[in-house]
Amino acid sequence: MSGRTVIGGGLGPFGLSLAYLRQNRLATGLNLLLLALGVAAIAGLALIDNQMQGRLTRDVAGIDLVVGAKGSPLQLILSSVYQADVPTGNVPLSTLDDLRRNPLVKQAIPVAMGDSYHGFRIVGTTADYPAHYQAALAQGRMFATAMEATVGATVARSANLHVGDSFAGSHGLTPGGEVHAHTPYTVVGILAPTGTVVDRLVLTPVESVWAVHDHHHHHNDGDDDDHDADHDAPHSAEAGAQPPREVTAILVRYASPLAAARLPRAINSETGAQAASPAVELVRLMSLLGAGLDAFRAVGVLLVVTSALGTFVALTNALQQRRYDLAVMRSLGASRARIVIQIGVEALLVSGTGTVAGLVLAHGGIALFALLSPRARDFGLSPFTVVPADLGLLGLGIAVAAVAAALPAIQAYRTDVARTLARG
Amino acid sequence: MSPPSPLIHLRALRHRVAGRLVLDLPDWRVEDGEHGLLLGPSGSGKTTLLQIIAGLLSPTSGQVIVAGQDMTSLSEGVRDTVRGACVGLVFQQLHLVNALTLADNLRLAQRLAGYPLDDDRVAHLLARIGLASRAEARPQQLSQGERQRLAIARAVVNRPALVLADEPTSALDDGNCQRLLDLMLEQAAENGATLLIATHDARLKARLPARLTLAASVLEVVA
Repeated sequence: MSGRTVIGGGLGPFGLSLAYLRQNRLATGLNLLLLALGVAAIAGLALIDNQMQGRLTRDVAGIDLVVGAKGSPLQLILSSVYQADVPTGNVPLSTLDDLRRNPLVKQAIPVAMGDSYHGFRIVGTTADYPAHYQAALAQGRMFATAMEATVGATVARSANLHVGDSFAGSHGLTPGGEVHAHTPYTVVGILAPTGTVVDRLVLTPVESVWAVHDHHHHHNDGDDDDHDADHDAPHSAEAGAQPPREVTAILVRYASPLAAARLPRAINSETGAQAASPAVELVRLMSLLGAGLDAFRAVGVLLVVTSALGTFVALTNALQQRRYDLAVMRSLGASRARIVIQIGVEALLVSGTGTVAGLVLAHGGIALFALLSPRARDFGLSPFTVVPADLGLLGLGIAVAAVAAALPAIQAYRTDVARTLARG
Repeated sequence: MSPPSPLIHLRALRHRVAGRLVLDLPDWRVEDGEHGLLLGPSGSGKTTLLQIIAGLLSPTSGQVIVAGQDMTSLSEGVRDTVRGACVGLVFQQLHLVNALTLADNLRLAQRLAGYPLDDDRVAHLLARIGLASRAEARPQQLSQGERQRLAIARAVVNRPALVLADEPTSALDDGNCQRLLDLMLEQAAENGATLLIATHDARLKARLPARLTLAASVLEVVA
């Protein structure tokens, strides 16, 4: 027929579809909700999965080995690379010196932890650490001497720190610990956002961490994040007989592939420390999380399949009830093609709206989650990233429409208009 | 000059459904400007014949000429177009579109036939059938008589040359029956259309010319 009957307008395929969908408000709404929930489940999962993998991989990139106190190797990686778990303990500074002298080691970066500010960890390290994560300075300069601090982008924003400010760390890695008021830090620099763990850290020379705890005596207040370098602390026996200085862990880069075969074994058997491979532990972590993610993903797929089926059934039903109307349209002069377009537009309208609503729901939900939950913020979730799965889901929505529309369209195409109208 | 051609001309029309002969008609014509009545009991093939004339159904054999066009020689797509432009249909079950307002039901007929929307025409017809104030109502909110009138308005909205109506009065009481027939005849006259009504309603026989009883004898052939 003429283009006029096909394109837009109140009674074109689009307008007619809207009229019919409005007529079946309840069924249409429920159907949209079902589809949107399924899509939101999958999209949300894909978003979290994508960002978590990216985040986990970025943080560990380039670190071949982590040396720290004996304990769970996964805990060692989590605490010293991801800054997510409590440390396993401390190792003597001599371990760092030994590693630095070792020809198999290209670089050894110390990290010393134990205090925090506003829930952000204060990490004693060297300038190698921010350099490793390619953290650039947004303002000021890098820390140089004890009690100078260069803070990550998130820390600066959330604790409202500026260059020149001073602050006191609190003991322990969670807020609420005893405040080290005598030994305040001075902010000398603020880092640009990196999308890595560095954003959420306060960086300072290792000496600062020692200095803070030299002023203090033995507060074994129940935190097992003991990093403390108290000379007179008798409980540091786990790391040997009162070593002069300690660090929490050492991040190691190999000088040659040969190191992978020799260094971990040598450290684990010949020293009191343990060596853990981030790559190995990351795989272990992902396989632990993976089972859960897979189950969740399966549920999401099930939801989408269910809602796709629901859309299919609803659309087939609606069009079945409408076979008289479609036949009437034919009798009023509409071609078979016009009827098929009508059905296709209606299917696309339902599944397209459902899919887009689902994507909005997923991203909005994660935005809300990130807003309400500090954990999600720690994780650095950014809800406004479009992940490839989003596009896949849009494709899926169109596919659902195509499948759901196909049967009714074929039926309508083949309908014996005369018989349908006569049977009425 | 040739004599005026008939608006409907059926030639040796036969139709079978699943091998069973349901229509076998002699030559039959309705002249332009005249009205016809198809009479016969239920199941005698009246609806089938209307559908064949409307081009919704192809007969097994014979010719159906409507407004000079041999419907049996046209493709389905062209028949759709011809029907949209030249034929108005009033179905026994009305088949109004409940998702649309009364006004949109009429506009849909304009649109699907490929005519430009003509809101004046829609308003005029709604006023004529006494439903002007309810243009935005839905068909299911109407009484049976009102729905019947809307169906007639939809059939004539595009000013077709031929209006086919299938048992338009069977559900109506005598008063409504007469008013509806008045409306149909008036609209036919206003638009210069030919009416062809299939019915077993004896009340209509009194109002339409006798020559249309031909249908009764035709249908006897079927029986």
